[in-house]
Amino acid sequence: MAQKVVAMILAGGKGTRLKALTRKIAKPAVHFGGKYRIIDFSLSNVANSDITVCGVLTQYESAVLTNYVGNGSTWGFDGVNGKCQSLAPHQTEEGANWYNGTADAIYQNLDFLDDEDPDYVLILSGDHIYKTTYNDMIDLHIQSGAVCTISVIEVPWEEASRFGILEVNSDDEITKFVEKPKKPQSNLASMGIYVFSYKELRKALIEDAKDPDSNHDFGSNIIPTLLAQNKKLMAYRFSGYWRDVGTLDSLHAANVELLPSMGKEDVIHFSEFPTVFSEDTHSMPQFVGKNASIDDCLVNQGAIILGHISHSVISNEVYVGEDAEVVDSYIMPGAKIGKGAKVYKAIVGPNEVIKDGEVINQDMAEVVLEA
Amino acid sequence: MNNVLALVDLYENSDLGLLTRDRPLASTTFLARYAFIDFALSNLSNSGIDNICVLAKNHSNSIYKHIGNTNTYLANPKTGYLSILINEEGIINPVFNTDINNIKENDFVLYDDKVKYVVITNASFIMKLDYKKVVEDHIKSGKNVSLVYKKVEDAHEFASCTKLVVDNLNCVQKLYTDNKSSKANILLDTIVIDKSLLSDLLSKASQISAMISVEAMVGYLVNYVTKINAIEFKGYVRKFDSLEHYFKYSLEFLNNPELLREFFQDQDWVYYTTTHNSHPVLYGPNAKVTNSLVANGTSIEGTVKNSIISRDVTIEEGAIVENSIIFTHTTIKRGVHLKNVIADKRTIFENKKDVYGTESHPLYFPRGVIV
Repeated sequence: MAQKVVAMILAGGKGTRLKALTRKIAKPAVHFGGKYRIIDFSLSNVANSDITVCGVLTQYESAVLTNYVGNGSTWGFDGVNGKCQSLAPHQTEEGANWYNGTADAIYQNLDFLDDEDPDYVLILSGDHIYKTTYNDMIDLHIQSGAVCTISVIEVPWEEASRFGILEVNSDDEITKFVEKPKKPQSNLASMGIYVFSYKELRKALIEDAKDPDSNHDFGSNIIPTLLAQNKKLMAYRFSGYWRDVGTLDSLHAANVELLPSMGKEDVIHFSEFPTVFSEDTHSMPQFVGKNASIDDCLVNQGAIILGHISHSVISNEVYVGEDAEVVDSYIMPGAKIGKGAKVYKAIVGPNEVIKDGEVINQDMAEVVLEA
Repeated sequence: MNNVLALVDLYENSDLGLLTRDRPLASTTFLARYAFIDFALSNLSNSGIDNICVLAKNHSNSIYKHIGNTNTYLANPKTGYLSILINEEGIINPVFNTDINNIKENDFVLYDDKVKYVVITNASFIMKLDYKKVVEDHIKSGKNVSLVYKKVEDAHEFASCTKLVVDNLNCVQKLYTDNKSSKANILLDTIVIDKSLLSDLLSKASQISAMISVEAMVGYLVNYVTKINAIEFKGYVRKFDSLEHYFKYSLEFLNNPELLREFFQDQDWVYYTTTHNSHPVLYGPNAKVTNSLVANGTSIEGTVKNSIISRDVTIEEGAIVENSIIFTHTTIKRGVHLKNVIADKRTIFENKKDVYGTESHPLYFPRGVIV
């Protein structure tokens, strides 16, 4: 009998640095790559790892996200053994609470996990862009007999102080965890991906919940406590493309990295396994007009391109009018770029209208947001 | 409209040569991401008709493959249903494989007491037909049979269609098939019939030797039985009854933005189709694309003009595709120039550099060939 793994995706964050883009929707529901939403990547990775049960922890502006996740059929979680459930904070006998930290979010849903009775729990963040399967990491966790395994990625030394940094011994056992260290002793950054043995996780969460001084955070509390208790924690070394799209600049950059001119780099290759599943809209095929030009672009179905687009990502139902010009930009679904308008190095939000002849960000000094 | 049962009759005589050798027209690719039957099914669904049966003559595998998940089309798949009906007797003896025999064999669909009216329609006409209006007109007329027709002034385009004469009282006077006049009333092979009359006719069909098909039944009704109500349809309509018409009418959409708008920009009347996990279209840095419809999953590095490109097509740098229709998973390699070509699924163009048909006689390449 195979060991049972349940995935829990933390998707409650606001993503304040994305400004107006997250005014009405949670960061994991923000559009990405012409056709996708950010959370598609985590959910597809889980599905491609043959994990059939998945909880999505929502809090901030959860309506759009909950509706989008639905019963998980987009990622195939509606199969015979499947389940995909949005878990928003809820009222219980003890009262009503918001999720107060990442660990508290899981703690408040121990009933959901108890019902599933998993051997292992995979905890992920719903706001990263990467394609992977978690099977190797779970195998490493099982074979090592660790309480918890954390996925790490090597970051440049000069950036290490922006991350949660793990120090490891020669067997990749974690010896120390420091959140944003001033003088990092390692460049292994935590990706916020954890595999826990469920019994140990359950115990740790219940203990943490009783601690009035805890911030109920995996990075700041649960992991350091487990280390202090001399539990075995392993680091799993991830290699490949992984992006946090928490700022307008990084969201813009990660979109541009999908373009064909970047094709030889270490980027997302759509045609390769694992497939990224997403909602497929009932759009007509994209229409390219008589006087249009397109170079180095990613364009989703339903778009109508009558003007000129270059080095840009264009989503479904976007309209680019005659003589309009879109350069080095990411245009979200339903936006309309008016006749003769010029849009340079911008993120244009969903259903936004750029008026005829309007010029956006001509000097292209930095990424601007129109939303 | 739960008092209406719709039968989509695929026993049509349209022969598009090799294009429809292994598939019915109903599941043949149309406008890059659709199949012909999507139009009939979506029209019915948009008209509020949720009880739909497809009368399949042959190649049912191809129909199942396309319609597969019937939830795609229905407003509520629990209260409504979409079934594909096969005439099993007809498999043993093709002489008996007619639409009337198919309905007779599957007459359980008529048992539903709620159903008072039966719409029989087809998948070879492309039109935006509101069946709700048609049924309402039928009920208002007080007649027990109605036929839907279109007044045209280019009857030569509809040479394969039955025509009808309508009298001052909006009744069908007679049917005819000659093509002497450019003005004619074209029968759109769409009938509304009271269920009681249909059941009565089916029980008598074996005694009326000529009544082996729906077409013959209509002839019988016009000639011998009843006053028939004529309902005029005023919108765009084309019948896809030859390879030349398929080519001409498909490309007609490219040069008629009004038509694209009418069919695909109407939020209240969406055309549904089966969906795929295809990525947005990748346009390379040297791509040149004009006046074309392109479906997702495709990668274009070369030149495309005035063409319809389906899902998952690869057009390499230096390849030229002009005035052509390309089906899914086809590859056009560097240096190849296609003009007036219809390329079926999974064909590869690499050896012959100039592949030219003419506008009136496009070259057709069957599935999987290497050119």
